[in-house]
Amino acid sequence: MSTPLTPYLPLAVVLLLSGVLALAIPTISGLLGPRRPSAIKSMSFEAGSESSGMARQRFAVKFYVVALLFIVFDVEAVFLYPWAVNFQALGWFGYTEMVVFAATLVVGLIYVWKKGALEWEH
Amino acid sequence: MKRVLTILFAIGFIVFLLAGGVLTAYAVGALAEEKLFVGASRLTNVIFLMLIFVMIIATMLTLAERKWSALMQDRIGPNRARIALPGLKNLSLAGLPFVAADSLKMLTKEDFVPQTANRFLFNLSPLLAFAPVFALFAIVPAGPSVTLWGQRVDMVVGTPDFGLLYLFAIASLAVYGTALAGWSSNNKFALLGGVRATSQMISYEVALGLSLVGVMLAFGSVQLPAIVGTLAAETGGAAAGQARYLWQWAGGAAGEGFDFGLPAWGIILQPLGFIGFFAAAFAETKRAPFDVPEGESEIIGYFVEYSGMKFGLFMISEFVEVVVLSGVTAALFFGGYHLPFGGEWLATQLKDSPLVYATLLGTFFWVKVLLLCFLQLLIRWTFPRFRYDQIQTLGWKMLLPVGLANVFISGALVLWDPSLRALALFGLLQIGVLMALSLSRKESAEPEHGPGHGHGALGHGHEPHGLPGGAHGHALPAHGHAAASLGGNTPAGAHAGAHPASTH
Amino acid sequence: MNIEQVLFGAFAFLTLLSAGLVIFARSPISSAMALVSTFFFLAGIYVLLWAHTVAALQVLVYAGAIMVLFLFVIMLLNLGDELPGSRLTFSRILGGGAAAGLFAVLALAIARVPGRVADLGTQQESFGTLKAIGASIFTTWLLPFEAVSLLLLVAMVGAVVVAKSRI
Repeated sequence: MSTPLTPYLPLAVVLLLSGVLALAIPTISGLLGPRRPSAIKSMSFEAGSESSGMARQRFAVKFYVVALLFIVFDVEAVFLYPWAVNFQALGWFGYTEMVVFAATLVVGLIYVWKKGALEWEH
Repeated sequence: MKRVLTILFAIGFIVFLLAGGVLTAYAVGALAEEKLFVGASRLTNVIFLMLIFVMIIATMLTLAERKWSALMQDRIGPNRARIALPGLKNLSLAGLPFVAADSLKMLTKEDFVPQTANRFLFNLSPLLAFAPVFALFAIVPAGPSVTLWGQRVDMVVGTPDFGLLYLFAIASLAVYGTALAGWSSNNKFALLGGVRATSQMISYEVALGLSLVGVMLAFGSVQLPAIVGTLAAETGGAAAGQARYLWQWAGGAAGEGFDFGLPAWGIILQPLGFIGFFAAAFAETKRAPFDVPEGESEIIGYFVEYSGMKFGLFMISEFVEVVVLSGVTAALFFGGYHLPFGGEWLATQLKDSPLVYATLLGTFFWVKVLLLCFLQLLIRWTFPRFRYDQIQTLGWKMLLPVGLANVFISGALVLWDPSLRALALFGLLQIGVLMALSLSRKESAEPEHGPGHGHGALGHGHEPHGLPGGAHGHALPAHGHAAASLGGNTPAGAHAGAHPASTH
Repeated sequence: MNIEQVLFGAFAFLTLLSAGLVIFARSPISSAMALVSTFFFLAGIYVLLWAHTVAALQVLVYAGAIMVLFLFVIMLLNLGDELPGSRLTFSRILGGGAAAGLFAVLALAIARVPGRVADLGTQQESFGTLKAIGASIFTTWLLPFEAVSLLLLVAMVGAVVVAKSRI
């Protein structure tokens, strides 16, 4: 019954268990707790002052730029892991490959930095 | 004297409990292998490691945090919840009844949803915050693999081929819990906290992955058991991973005499990687000094609308993260369950009693985890909160370039000298430089440390060193931004108005 | 029925269910979250196909990074729960055409698969591992790998140029 997939079965059990646990805990609390809704309780809590309008507003474009940069560097890091595992076998040739790859991205990082997309001070 | 004895007794008691837990985990694992099916010990490990060890330590940390902060701030701390036991004279028991009282309180609180909130997503987000964090510990080996009563028992839940990628992948899902909690509450403070949290978490996720590439290079693997390594006395071959010595000064190869030397621990090979990983992972937990998304004193955070156990889930997932971070750090940088020296000697001495050997090393792992948890509590109660721009600057302008440089310098050194000694020398040099820097920094920062010094929103522009472009953005947290200023904590959009006197 | 078939059935059902939710959910945020769960269950199917590394990367990059950007955009642009109108616009016709084309290509590709797929049990032990994937990226597929860096560079520059007037 041992297949190469066997090491992944405990992980599936863990992921299932964490979902069940996360579902069970608030459910138990919902059953145990009282339920006395009132108008004031169901208002959104904004430090005592009455809330005006919807909370959902547009945000500064910087947050999007950060999210995009995050994807770019996340993808870069994804290439670093298989490289690290094969590092000794690839030797200096593989090292140079990754230097070229990373250098391109460092150029991009310098561009982004100089353009001020990483400045949050103003 | 009495106090010292009490503390020593408490520490001894905790270690005793840990050892008991490890012993039971190994024994039950071996029994399950024998009575149920091959691989059943992995499932008992799920129960012992994740449900018992991690969850109990996380729960106890809620108390430890309050008790320790009280000690640091010269308070008594939680002592009001008491159990009037007949022979015990109504003792406060170091605040232990608070754990029970708190969890009972949270379970029985009313659980309500604000009227304007998106009901489904509001209920979903605590789930999404807790579930990924709980699942993280599955790949951390918490003890050696031994043969007990003819059965092989590994003290780890899962050993997937992609190893650490499991950690990164599952941890990256935790973002949704905070982002959705902030958005679905339909509350301005919650949304602010949620957006800050999301932005902070994704910024540091990059640094988190990059800072571990050096360790992967040094050990040529992404799997935690391979990085932790095995002793020569365990496998019969040569010692591998963090179990081997960089320089061995005493003892033979396989347990002849007491062995002593400099172990190939991650902290010696990759001090910069350790600092980057620890800082980035700390930011992922959103605890002080990275607690701008929560900012209890002004925006409360993305969970402002949550009550009862749903808030409890957010809180407990933070503490579970602390334990997981300690476990991963111990496995990657502090030799996992191995002793710094004398490991081969111990393994040879206890060759015939594997249960004792496994219990000793397993307990040693959990002691390391507790010490690292304690380090995190220390940091959390020592440093003042970073401003939002400082958080982003640290992530993108410090940790990312330093992490990249670290990868390539370490890579060159590993290729040049595969015995890792060159890398270790470079690492020791880094530790020396960092120590010298932090010592000299303290002196130069001292004159600025006066009591009247503050970075208030309005005073900012008048400071002689309040130059544009965040001249103090690189400052160490010890620099003295006492309480986070209002201007510093508003997100980008509103930020411009808070600096009327600045020149940019 | 062995355990792999049971798991495949469960993952396939959950993938299809979440994919359906992506289309039929009313609020864009719910759609995005359903897409995250689609990716997650798809990763389960990858593991069953012995593509463990692809499964991990699927969760890491798609579910954990790209969907965060999607969620960010939907959250912060404050898109409401608007029901789509019934008007036929140019982009809708184009989208429909693209979907039909993709369906045709996939159907053709699946039709060409031989009836009996080689037994997975005969695969090499190293199949789908991080090491095997790395070995082929950095030797056989060197040029595409280096080209990816240019693509990422373009993405970075693009992000800044699009947002430049606001930064």
